[in-house]
Amino acid sequence: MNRERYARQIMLKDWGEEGQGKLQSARVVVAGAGGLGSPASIYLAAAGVGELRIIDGDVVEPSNLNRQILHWDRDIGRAKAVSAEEKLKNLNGDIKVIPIMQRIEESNGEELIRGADVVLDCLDNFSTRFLLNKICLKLSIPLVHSVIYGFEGRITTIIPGKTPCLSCIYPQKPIEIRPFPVVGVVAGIMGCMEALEAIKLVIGFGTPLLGRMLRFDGERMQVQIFPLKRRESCPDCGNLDFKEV
Amino acid sequence: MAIKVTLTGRLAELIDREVLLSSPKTVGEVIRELANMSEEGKLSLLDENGEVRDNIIILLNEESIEDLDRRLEGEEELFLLLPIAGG
Repeated sequence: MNRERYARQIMLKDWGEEGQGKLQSARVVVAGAGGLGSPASIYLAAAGVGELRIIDGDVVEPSNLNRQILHWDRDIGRAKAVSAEEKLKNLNGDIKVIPIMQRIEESNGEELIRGADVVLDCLDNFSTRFLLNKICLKLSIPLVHSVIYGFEGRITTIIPGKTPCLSCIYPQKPIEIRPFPVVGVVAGIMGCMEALEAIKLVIGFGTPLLGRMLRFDGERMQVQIFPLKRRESCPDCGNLDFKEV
Repeated sequence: MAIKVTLTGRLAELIDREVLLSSPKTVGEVIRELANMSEEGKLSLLDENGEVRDNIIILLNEESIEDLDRRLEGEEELFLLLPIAGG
């Protein structure tokens, strides 16, 4: 372990070398290398997460560049997963970055996610988000979910069998709005929060947003945290043996 | 006395970020009154049967509530959080 590199976080009592070792052994999936996935993966790489699996089937477009800070002018037309791998490996050569240039679908989802310690939902549409939620429930993998729209961001952490899942929060299929407006800074803030939740889950300290949602309003600089309710009739998690946290 | 309703996401663009409505009203009545302000907004608030969609997170005075019959009497602040999926 490169102690000097991680010295400032190892100093924290709840982190220490043991925590750093856990991060080094961790496998984290970042689903989506866009507005949320860029800052999230940058901070996970900097923190020393041992394996980052970056899943994104898209290529970089000019309209991505106001927020997707892993991708630069010269990357337009490149696969986002490959662009992300290059930057993250340059940031921290000690870690393993696995680029996956695929979309998450029913046919490949479990294979792409299996073996992860934590999954970060950094996607940009409901249908894939709900699919990822189902896969994580089935494989019993914690899922950090965040969304953004304009100046607003929301985040919650879903632990299968312990917290409400995404389908509990939104039982009716929402209307997809695309393209959506987004302030790059808000994507940055929420992506960083996702990375922080993932680090806490891996090391095992602090209080993650379990059964709670945090809403950030960047326009008014307001933060609200409110409880989420599990739905016993939920088609996706209703069959799990629940142990509320 | 007025009920302050804060709208977010697409609904804020279609109607307004903040709407003041006279009280008393139930939460369900507030949502229906808002639905009448915008045809496109109505699609987000009410389903095809005219029922309030259950994918709206309703915050009343910083607490999430599901009771559409909850009566709003005085100076109360309601947040309607529609589902968003951007990333």
